[in-house]
Amino acid sequence: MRIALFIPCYINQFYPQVGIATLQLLEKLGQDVFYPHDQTCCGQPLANSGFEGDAVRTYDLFVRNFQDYDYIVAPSGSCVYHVRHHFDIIPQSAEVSHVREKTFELCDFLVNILKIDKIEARFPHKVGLHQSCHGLRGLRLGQSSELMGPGHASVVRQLLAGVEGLELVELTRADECCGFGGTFAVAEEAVSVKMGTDRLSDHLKNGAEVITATDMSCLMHLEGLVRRRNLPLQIKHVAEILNSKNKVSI
Amino acid sequence: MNGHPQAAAAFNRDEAHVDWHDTALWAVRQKRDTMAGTVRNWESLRSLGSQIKAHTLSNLGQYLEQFEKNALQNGVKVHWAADAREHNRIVCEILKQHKVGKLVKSKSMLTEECGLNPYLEAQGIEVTDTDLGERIVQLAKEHPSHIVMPAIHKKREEIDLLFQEHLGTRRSGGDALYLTREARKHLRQRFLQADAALTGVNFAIAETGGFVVCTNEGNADMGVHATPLHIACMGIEKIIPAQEHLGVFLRLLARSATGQPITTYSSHFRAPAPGQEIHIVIVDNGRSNQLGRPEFRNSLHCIRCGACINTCPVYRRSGGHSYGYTIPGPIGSILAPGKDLHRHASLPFASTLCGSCHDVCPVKIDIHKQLFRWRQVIVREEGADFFKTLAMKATAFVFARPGLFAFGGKVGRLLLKITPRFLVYSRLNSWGKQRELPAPPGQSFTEWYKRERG
Amino acid sequence: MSKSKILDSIRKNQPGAIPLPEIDPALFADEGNLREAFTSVLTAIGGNVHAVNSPEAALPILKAAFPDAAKILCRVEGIDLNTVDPDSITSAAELDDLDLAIIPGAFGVAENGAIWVPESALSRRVLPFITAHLAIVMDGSQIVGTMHEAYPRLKDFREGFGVFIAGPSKTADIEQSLVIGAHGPLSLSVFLI
Repeated sequence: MRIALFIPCYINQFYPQVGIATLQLLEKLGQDVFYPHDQTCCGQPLANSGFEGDAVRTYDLFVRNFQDYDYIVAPSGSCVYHVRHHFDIIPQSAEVSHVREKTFELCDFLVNILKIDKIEARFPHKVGLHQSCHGLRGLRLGQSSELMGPGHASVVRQLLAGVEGLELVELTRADECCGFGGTFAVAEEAVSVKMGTDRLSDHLKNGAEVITATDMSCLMHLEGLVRRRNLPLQIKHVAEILNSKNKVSI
Repeated sequence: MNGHPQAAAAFNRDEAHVDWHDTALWAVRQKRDTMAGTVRNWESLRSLGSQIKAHTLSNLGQYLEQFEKNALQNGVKVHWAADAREHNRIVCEILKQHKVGKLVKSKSMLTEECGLNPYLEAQGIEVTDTDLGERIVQLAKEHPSHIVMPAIHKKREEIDLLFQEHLGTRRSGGDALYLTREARKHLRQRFLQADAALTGVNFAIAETGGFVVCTNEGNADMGVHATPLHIACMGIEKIIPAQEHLGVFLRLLARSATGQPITTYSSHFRAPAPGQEIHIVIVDNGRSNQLGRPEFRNSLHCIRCGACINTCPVYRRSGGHSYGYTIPGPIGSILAPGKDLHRHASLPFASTLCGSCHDVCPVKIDIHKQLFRWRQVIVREEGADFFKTLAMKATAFVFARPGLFAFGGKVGRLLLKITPRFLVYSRLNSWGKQRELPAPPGQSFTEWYKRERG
Repeated sequence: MSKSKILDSIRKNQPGAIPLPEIDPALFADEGNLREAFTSVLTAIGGNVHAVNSPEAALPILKAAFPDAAKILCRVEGIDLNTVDPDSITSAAELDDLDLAIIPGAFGVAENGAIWVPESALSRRVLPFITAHLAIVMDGSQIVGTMHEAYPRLKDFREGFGVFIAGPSKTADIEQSLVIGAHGPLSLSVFLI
């Protein structure tokens, strides 16, 4: 099975350690992982701003980069959601359909494709899970709080729960949006910041030392607020936690 | 152009009020969760609601005609209004024919949409909104900031002052019980002195020609049954095929709206009482155009419960007035562009596309997807401002060229590292006003990979 | 003229036929005692529920609950509390000072505490809304589980007006503080026989 690593543009440029953790984690699990060098972005920043038409060439490039692999795995629910749901405006060739169907968020891939229910990792901290919206409500990585009845448990929670020493804190609002929203963070700065600080208060109030998520974009926004306000919170992508070994220091 | 971001920023200057607003509405969302959780197979009920609406829209013309025929047989008069202006003219004519000087109204977002109150007032008719929340905003000369809780933006102290001024109440510090009782007395007089009553319509039933109006306060019924003339105004999408479908929608409506099992009163009107007249005004006002837009069609499923508004993290922190449209929040943001794309161009962007609105919607309107689609329409038809367009075109250019992307990333990270802080965090940097930018790493993932793995 | 314009526009824009789903009441039916469920929901939404053996048995309870009620209109046989002749009322205004109305309810709905009141149970439509306090007397065996079971009962209902009443009138329009008693009754007493 040939797996291609899809590292979203902002992770590539600003958070290489998240890409490295993703790669190492998959390799530790015995997977053949390839990294197509010519990848750039899924095009979401353009499309979410209304410039879908201008994103077509980026979509084409994405498909060319990834069409030859069995699976495409990314440490981002949002980008995966975009590939799966918004690549519908280009002609649906066999390659495009393949790429759309086989692109997976990391935790989803681990649990539902590799059928792994526990990762050997140790992370002795109180962790607050920020449930990134596109992963939760877009990819259904768990059941959102709006839906009723028996739903499937969050794959992210499931993996984190198996990490040695890790204590998941329960939040007052389990899955409220952090306010990142791409260009929303800039265009609607006031509301975006308020949403973010409210999320941070929830994590702090409930005793989190570390905030994690499937999406570095939410975390970039939250980290920006944490650093400006000097809050006692660490920010870690879920891949970093799952890839952590004994005696990690954060 | 002033749009949602500016109004929302203004709302956020009073953080304590934002916190109050957010908490109050979140509490309603929680009540909704509790109440929906008590219904067996809630998600199937939502599907049923959605499918019935989809079916109805696919036979809308036929159902409207069936409704009219049955209503006429019941002795109800039926009028058709293509737009807001015609709606207002029809209502005014009916009132004039009956020599109505005083009209009491229960809540109707449609008449808000049509601007009926100012129209009638200009014709010398005294209009009293009788829903307590609507009366409060009417006295304050404002508009509702929420479709179910029209005065949710108002603090009790403000209401206290308002009532002192208009109803002659004593200073009560905003005692809700006292103020509600005083409003009851004041509005009781208005009901008994009125010449006619106007209500909205929650559901109109094609099979029977009847219609249902839901309230908690009893204000619709007080007005209607105390006066000889009842005018009910409905959008074309309020129709449902048969009475049995009320079972589905009445189960969904109040639970989704306020977390009640049902509204206190679900009044079923079919024929006028002896000596009374009922007139129904069926209004299009852009709805049939929306019907013709496949991507946006299911926005017409809306039963106006307001659940998407209560759950919206942006609405809760920006207030209803920031949307500048009769119906605020997520549902308003997909309806408004269909009415006036230019004027409401900022609304589809007033969202993080978190999708909570879709999951909470009792009739499964995929609001977040429609917000995304409206963004495309807006950029295509209205364009974006110069800098945004330039930035997006440049980004698109770079994203399509891996070499340029790698080079640009390297230069960008370097610039971020060497540029003095005051320049990075200048006024032009919206992100950096209250947030740090990521600390630029020495190498990108691609650079690391090439070095480590070749 | 606008009618044909609107209908033309609708016909031009409406999608191809989408089937109408069937409602299966069994899918939503809850197990458990209907009367208990009804009582518990109605109490939770502000109603006062009394179990009595006959309409007459409601009399002392009503007298104790509303000792100062001077103007009473009763539409239930067996409860002799009428102080007004319903037939003498010619306008809503004459009922403005009504202290108590006692009316029969047709049936109740367990899931939401609603009671169906048809126009024929009232002397005037305004009655259950304008009265200061409302009492509804109904057969305790006439309770259905959900609204899906309620509407089949109304299949042959042909009256001009009918209403589901669930609790006393209420509002929360001032800072979300719940106040019982908005424009309609300040209280609702329900007698289950």
